[in-house]
Amino acid sequence: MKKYLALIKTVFQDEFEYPAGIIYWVVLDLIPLVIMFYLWLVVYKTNAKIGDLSLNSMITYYFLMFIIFRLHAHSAFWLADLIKKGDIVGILLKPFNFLSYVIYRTFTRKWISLIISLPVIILALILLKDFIIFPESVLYLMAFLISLLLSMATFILIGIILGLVSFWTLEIGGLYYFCYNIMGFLGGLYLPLSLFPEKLAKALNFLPFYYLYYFPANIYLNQVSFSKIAIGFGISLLWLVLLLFFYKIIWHFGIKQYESFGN
Amino acid sequence: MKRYLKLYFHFFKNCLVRELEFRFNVFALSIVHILWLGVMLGSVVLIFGQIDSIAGWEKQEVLILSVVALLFHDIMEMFFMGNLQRFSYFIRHGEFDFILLKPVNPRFMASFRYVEFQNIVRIIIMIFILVSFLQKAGIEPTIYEWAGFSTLFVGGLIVFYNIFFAIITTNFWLINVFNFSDIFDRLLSAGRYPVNIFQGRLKPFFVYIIPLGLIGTFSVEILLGKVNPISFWVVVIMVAATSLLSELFWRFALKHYSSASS
Repeated sequence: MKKYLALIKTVFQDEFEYPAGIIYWVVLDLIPLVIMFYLWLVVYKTNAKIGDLSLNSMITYYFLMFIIFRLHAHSAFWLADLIKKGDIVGILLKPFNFLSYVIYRTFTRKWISLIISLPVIILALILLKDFIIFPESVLYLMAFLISLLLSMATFILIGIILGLVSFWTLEIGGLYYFCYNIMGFLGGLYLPLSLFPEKLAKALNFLPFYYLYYFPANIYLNQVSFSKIAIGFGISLLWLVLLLFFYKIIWHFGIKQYESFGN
Repeated sequence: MKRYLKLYFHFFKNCLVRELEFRFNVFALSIVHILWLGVMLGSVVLIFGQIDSIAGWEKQEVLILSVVALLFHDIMEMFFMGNLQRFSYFIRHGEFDFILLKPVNPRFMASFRYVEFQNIVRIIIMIFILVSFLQKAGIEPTIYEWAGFSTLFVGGLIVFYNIFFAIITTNFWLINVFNFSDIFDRLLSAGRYPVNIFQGRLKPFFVYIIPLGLIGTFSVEILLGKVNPISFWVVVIMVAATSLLSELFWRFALKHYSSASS
């Protein structure tokens, strides 16, 4: 346990070495939320409901996307860089299980990110106080928090699997952007899935992306019954197990044929 | 001037040759970018499956705006983004000194040395899509409207280049604006919607301080026959103001630069 605490301390130091970037993204990350707010405010002037969502639900939805996005680490780029430059050897030599190392590092970075964003989140809450709605009960809130953790874990695993593809290719940055954006699109980050054609939206229920953004938001907005929440948790856990399995396979074959450069 | 044009031509050629060494990468990225264009336009279609207009803009008009905004993003990325992103690296690793030692204006080297060709196929396709969308909407811009569109479009590129250059100049003090590409994407993706969605006190902020209208709204309004003389004056004033301010800030920053290495 001591070694993981030391790792967490190192991550803290890394994150605050150059705090300038943090200031920029904390402030500028508000822009998409502001744009969405004004967009839907204008659209709802002539429509009472869109995709079964009222104006307040829609604004709350994008506020939730703003928070959930903060919790998702795009670890594929970092991993790909490690592999390309040979720095992964340094991690392999450390007394850590590689997956544990990545998960601890990523979780720590994301919670730091959320804490740093707290003033902005509180500011957004104050400005949007007339629009934000809250879960009906403590049970819904707890279910939402559990779905958030599942969402973080799923996103990290997908990112790791994508990053490990770098064992076989050298230059793949553009593909990662596309994958992350597609995951966001199919997961409801850019548009609620209730706006999608019904058959497509139903099919997306069975993909892991649905549990990254839309499912947690749906729970928060009281749009899902407890039985469906239970089923959703079951499917989400199943995907976690499958992704873990994929990771093991890719790691096994990737590390076998890996040749380090530079070290 | 002739010397800088000749130099830029060599930079352009050098970058193109380098890019073509990884032909498969260019091909794969082009496919990926075209698919993403499809997703973006699909999002607009999905929204308009539920509504009739956004701030008085109809579906075809918003589709045209989306294409122009993405074209704006891709051209910025092609000519400026790679350079500005590398700037943070140069400052942190002391390589900016080598730029200062060259007998060329350092801002020119920092801004124009690299050209990124990843989006070139999508840029070409988007031009065809734009023309096709205009035809589908029954819009046939005159040569003057195309000239007006181009003027506002290029004016917008200059303004945003100046804004991003000023942001990246802060690297002299802040050392590592590492997430510049996120800043770039966040700001430019906001231009996909008509700037008319902003109301009240925030409207001047998003027109004059962060001029989102320059990304697409003002130039597309010309094509749609909604000429707004104020837009021209906004662009002229913003080009002049941002060029002057970013240059003054750059010179101030250079005076206070202390190298990380030599």
